[in-house]
Amino acid sequence: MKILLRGSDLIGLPVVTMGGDDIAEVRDVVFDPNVGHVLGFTLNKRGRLAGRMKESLGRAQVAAVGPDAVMVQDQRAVGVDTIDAPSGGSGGNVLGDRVMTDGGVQVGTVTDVVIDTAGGAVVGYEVAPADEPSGRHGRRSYVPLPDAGAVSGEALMVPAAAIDYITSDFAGFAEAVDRFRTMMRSDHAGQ
Amino acid sequence: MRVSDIDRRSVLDVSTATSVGQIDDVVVDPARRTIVGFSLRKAPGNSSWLAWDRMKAIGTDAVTVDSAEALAAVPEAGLPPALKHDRVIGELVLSDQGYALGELLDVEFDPDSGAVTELVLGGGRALPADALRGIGHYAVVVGHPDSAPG
Repeated sequence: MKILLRGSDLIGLPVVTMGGDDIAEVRDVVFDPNVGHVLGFTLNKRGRLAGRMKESLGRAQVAAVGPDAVMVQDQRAVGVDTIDAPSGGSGGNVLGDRVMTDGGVQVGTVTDVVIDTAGGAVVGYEVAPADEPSGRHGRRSYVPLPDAGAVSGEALMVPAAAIDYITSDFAGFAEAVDRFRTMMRSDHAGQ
Repeated sequence: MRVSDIDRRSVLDVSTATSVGQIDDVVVDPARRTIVGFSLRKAPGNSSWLAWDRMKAIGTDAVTVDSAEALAAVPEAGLPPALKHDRVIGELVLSDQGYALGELLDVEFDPDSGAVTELVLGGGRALPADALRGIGHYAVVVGHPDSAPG
């Protein structure tokens, strides 16, 4: 079963070794929109007011991402990889970027990324819809991405067909992603 | 038998028929899934450690040793966290997939071998000991049970 989490759900999660020790917590999720998956995490020290760690946690060192913890093998997982902020686009920070379809329709602006916890792929964006005031308490919709991710430049481009799979129901979004991707693949096969 | 069953149980030296302490805490090796030993209260001097293999028996009323020489000072390094004083009992049980499964309430063990047989969680749930991956200061880590989501 596909378990999806929003990037903001991961912030503050403890980084826990298989030995049961918490060695850090997630400060931020580092994501490259042109690659389509999470590159890793920047970290804070554990505890209140503990501040930022200079070490980061690369995706290859992550054993699992769950709703309650990011699991790593042991203490050595931290600081192995240096995570470079991706170049181009918005430097990896897609929050606030516009999502456009290749049909030229603006879907909205990105408020969060949706991650498949199994492999760290970014399978969609949470957006504030373009036709609504994007206030703090505004409605949120979820836009699925194709397997290859979105092309990132001045805006994040998604196929026009993605519009039919947009949902405001996060619980049902995993299924919407699956249906959208199945449709995209069969569409390509038929051409 | 559960760890909570032997809390405060008297430790009896059978060569002199006198009490040499009470069970105060239990240390489990998470890699071998077995009890390493007990720390004692009311023990003579600083001899407040009883290694599992220096113990004679766990009876319903007392834990027995052949002599007071079975006791030693608590090893200063290299011990996993103690179940009670390091708050392993009451700690979060976390799956290796990052899911919180509940709180560790008790540990079931075989009184003959010291092998841990079951982890007892809140909500009447129990996990087989072979699920155990690690006991740390933040969580008890277990292999992901099939019944959980994911």
